[in-house]
Amino acid sequence: MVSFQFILFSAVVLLLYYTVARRWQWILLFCASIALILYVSPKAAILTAITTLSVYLLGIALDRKNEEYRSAVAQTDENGKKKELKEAFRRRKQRYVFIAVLICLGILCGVKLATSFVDVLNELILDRLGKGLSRTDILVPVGLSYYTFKAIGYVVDVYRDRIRAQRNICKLALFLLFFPTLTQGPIDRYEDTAEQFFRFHPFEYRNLSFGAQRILWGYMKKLILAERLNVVVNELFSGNYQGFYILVGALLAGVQIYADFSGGIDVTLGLAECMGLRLTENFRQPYMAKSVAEFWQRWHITLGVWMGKYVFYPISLSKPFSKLGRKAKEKLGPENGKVIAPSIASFIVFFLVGIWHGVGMKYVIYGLYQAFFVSTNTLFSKHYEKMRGFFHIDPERKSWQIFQMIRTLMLITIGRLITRADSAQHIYNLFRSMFAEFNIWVFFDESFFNLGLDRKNFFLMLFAILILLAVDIIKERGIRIRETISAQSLPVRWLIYYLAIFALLIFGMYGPAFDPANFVYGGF
Amino acid sequence: MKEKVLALLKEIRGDVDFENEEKLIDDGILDSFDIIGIVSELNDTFDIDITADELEPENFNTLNAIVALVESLM
Repeated sequence: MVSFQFILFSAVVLLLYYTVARRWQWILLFCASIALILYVSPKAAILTAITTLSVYLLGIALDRKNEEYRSAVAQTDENGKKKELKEAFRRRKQRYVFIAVLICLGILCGVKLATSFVDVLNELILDRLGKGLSRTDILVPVGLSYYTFKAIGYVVDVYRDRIRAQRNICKLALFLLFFPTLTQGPIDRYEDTAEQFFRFHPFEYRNLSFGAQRILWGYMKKLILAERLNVVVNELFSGNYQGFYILVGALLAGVQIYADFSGGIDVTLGLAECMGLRLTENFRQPYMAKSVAEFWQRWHITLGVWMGKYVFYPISLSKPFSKLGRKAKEKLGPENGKVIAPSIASFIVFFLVGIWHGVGMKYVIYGLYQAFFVSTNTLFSKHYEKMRGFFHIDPERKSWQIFQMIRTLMLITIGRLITRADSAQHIYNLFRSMFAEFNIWVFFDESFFNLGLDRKNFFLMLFAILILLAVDIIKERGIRIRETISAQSLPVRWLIYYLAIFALLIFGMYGPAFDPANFVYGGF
Repeated sequence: MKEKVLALLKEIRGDVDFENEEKLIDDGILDSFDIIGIVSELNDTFDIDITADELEPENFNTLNAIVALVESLM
């Protein structure tokens, strides 16, 4: 997505979109997406085709069952009979949806396990024999995770009778595989986004201008900030540092992943906007969250919503969990008992999100850690309230809210340390090394200029972080930045554009001598 | 029916003005833990079976929507 080829490819598609392909825009986007998939992962495209074809066919089968159910219900007035019919159809439909999910998840898990297996196999045997396999020997379709999540969401929504099945497989494929979303999502829902792809979009200057601004901002985040942070963070976690270095490393790692991931999403959403398409937002100023639970509602939003709809609620409301909930309420009282079942469900969600990032014991710890804060938030809310009353803290006060934001930032940062470690033992080592030395002087001497960036670049990085923070504060206050810019007079507007473009050209880390790191979330 | 549902909701979140709020879910007034609590109470009290399939914002945004959902499943 940062490559020159991608930018050129997108520009050509955009040009055709509003000129020769005006009357068949969606067909152009379908062809472009398929071409990109065949170009990036030609062999693995067969797996993409299997997923698409299975949700297409099973979606139609489910849709037919929904229709049959509706006409069967229309013929009866009896309430009991209606319930019976509903149950009977539900059971029949469950078979279809089960097969669809099994195929989608089977491919996703199979590919993920195979790539982890290559690492283990190399470490144990092959490297010693000098015959190490590369991860690229495994068929990994581009965008695998993202289109798989979308495909499961689609087929479950047809099963739930929220949407009608798409009868045109090319249209369904476009929704699943729209090329800007392949690298890192967002995980759109069919009912929110799909229909707009198939409508005609006349050229509008506003779409192009707003989309281009967003793309520019995304590349600035990625190439000016995330790439610099990448250098510093990798150095800090190289194993040669301790004390405050580790704390600063964890904080910067948080900013890095934010700039990297949200920058990529800005490029995707900006590109879609240029075409008159609105995809789902994935971030809402996450570091302004006042609790860990709220952080997860602002960070990677589409994954959170997906996990809620297709994992958390189905588990929490399943028969065994309802039973567990009732028992917990009897034993622990209604206040404490009610959080037990959803707490376990949220642990499962965080654990799944964890192993989606990579296989390993540390993700169990990570899952427990996040779920602990999410569930205690509810469990202790009454006690927190009492405590605030005792200390005469007004929850509406700015200072209290800032305190909450910093507290959340620290908790998230510690969580980040867990994912940064290679193993459970390493987590312990990282924590230990954080407290091994009280080297507060690193903030005052020249230490930070020896982490791979010179003084000038380090300050530029800090300045960029401040800008990112300022933009988030402005957005949090409900000010729409692009609207504000477009309300300025022509010279002011173009001055801003030029400054942004020059900043990107001068300070962006790219070019033949520099190989920008892949988007972190492109690897998932 | 409406009074019964309202009493049940008040039991779980006494601080929320269920009679006047129109966007209980969309505005994030109820979080996922509240929803699980409400659904399991509704299921037990009215002997119905609200599943994940019914958990869409439009069914939980207002008191009336919740009442309508319960009635449709009875």
